[in-house]
Amino acid sequence: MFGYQKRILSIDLTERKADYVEYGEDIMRKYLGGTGLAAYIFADMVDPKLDPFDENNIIIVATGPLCGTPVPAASKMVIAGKSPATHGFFYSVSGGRFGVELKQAGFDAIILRGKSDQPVWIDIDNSDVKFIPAYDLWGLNTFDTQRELIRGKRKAETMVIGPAGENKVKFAGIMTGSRCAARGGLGAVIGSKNLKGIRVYGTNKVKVPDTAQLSKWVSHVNKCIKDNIVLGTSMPTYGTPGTLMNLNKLGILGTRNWQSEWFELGEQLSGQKLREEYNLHHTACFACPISCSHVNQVRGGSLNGIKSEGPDYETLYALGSMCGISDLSTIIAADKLCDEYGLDTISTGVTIAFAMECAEKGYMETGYADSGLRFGNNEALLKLIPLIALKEGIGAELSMGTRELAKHIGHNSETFAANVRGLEIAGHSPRGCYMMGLGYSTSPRGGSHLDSRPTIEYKGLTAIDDITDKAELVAETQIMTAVGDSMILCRFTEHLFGHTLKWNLQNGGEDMYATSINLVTGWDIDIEELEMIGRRIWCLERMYNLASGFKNEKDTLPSRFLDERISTGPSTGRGITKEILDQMLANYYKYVGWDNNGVPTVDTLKKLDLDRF
Amino acid sequence: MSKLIFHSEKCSGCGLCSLACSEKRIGAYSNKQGFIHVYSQPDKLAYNLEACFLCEEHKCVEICSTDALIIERDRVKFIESNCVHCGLCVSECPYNIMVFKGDEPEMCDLCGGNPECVKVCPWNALEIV
Repeated sequence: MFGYQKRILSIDLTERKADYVEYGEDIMRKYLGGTGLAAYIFADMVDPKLDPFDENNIIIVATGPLCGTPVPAASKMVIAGKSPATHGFFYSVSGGRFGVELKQAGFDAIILRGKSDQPVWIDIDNSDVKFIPAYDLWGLNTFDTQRELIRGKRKAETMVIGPAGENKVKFAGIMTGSRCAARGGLGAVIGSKNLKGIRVYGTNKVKVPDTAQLSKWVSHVNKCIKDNIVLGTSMPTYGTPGTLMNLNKLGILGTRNWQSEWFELGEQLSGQKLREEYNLHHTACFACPISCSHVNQVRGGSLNGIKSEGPDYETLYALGSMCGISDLSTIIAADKLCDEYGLDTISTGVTIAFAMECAEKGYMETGYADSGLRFGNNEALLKLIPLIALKEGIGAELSMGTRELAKHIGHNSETFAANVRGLEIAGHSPRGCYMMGLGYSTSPRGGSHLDSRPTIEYKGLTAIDDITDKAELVAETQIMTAVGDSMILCRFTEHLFGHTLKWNLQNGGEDMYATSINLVTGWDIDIEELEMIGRRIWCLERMYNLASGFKNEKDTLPSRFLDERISTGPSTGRGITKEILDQMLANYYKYVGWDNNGVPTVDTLKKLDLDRF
Repeated sequence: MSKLIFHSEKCSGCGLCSLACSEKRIGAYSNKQGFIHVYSQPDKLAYNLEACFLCEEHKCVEICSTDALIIERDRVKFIESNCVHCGLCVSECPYNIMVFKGDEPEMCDLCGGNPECVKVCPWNALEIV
């Protein structure tokens, strides 16, 4: 079997034992790797009703078949678990190099089981696995921790949690290098296992059937990337922050907790300003020629010298426009704090923005209103991030995330708590883009922008007011992302590989998804088989999450988006009503083979070979 | 012989150089089994690249007591007939770039003057002069 190492490292933290399990080619061809493999293992091993912090819960770190090969933008890794935010199966994708190093150590994935009785970190040196006490690391930030872990083995790669994960903050992430598997609070699950981090070092190789053939394909794809205006020019120059002004000009930039979708100070957050005044150098994920990420540094003022990899667009939205903050220096410092403490910038910013609105409406208890919670308060933002990570003072409440915090605050504040299934929504408007409205509603991860995508609407490839094609487009996009997160491809490849699996073929192009898989694995997967794989993974995630408790909740959006129209800016008057969403949901369920309540039918399960679940 | 120059300010850390090198050397992909390694430096928000840039110490050459390694035209040259297979050169390389091929050392020869690493770098961070 090419493209895989054929071994998964199974670690029991309770017993401090490591052994190896093998998954055959049949499973890999049905689930590919990454998210698909993680969903399969979860369905096989983990009771859906288990509390995320139960020691019998597991964490999976998974690579994909393309990881470690030169196929561009394809060496990411997936960290999967039961999310303390959504209580469902969740995964977060990270760039960096840990996945590549894991694969070179000889493993396609790690399964972490049990709970250590004391703080510990794990050292993986090829097949040798050691458990090392981490008392001296507990409390350290993510960068100091990684520096300590690679001491004496500088070419190793690391994934660690910060104080937020140790304190089980519901939106704690996992840092790997200067990248983050941020979403869903999986850092808190790792913290609940008393695991501070993992160091991995590998000297093995990844084999493919024919390196010359693969090289030829990679050269072709890389040339296409270079010639693509988004991937070859915009991303290397501005990264994702280049998006911000476009969305603000369209009037669909989440602002002040989505009370508005136009930030009058948006120019201050532009990708161009970030590039001209703060940029230090660019960075890339492994084997990626795009290089979308940029390290920025504050020059001058009280925050002089602080540098961070980022902020990316989502961080500019969450810590910037959502909080009414227009000072890039403050956002760079806040981004760095989130990375140091190990927090997801999206959920951190959206939760603070929610608290700011509550404070301004007078819903917060006396004392909390004095904490500086008001839109546009730079100092408050920087003070609140450590408090959240350490669960100190008002930070203890904010660390619950918007869903729990709204219950705590009352005053019907859940109507404007910007989360779906407990996950704070990303910076893509469900009112401005109906695909995102339907996408967030049906995502197994809730408010994630990486399952359904806004790109087709942003590019004007579908009429934004016509709902008739949205169910099919959303479903096909989700099937593509399910495959993409299993291969594991960077989401930006959608600009080249296609917005859906069949997109290129339907538009006279070439099938880049199946070709990449086949050249690495030696398989002969065609577009129909790939479509079936995507549907299978998507449906399995749905089934698992229905059993986790999703069936008690309707697929919907926060009331603010359904009841309030956009009130200012270029998109004034635009909205997504409950009727529009319900119509799209009905079409969607029919398209994907789920019943009127959103439950996959027996016939659908049989077709996807999922009936045993 | 040419010399390999690294422009760190241009490097994105993508590691395509290391894959191109391992592909040529072993016909598979590894960022440890080639002669050029790229790895994270998390606290510096950067990546580091190591290759045989002919370090000042010349440790491999210095440690060899049988003159199996010599410096010739800006590269380390291996004289097979002098090698006693002690392995000290490989273990002494400060950058862990020199590797064993069987029981003999193997080192970067710049692909005969047209290195794969230079060819694949998207950012011209590697240059041959």
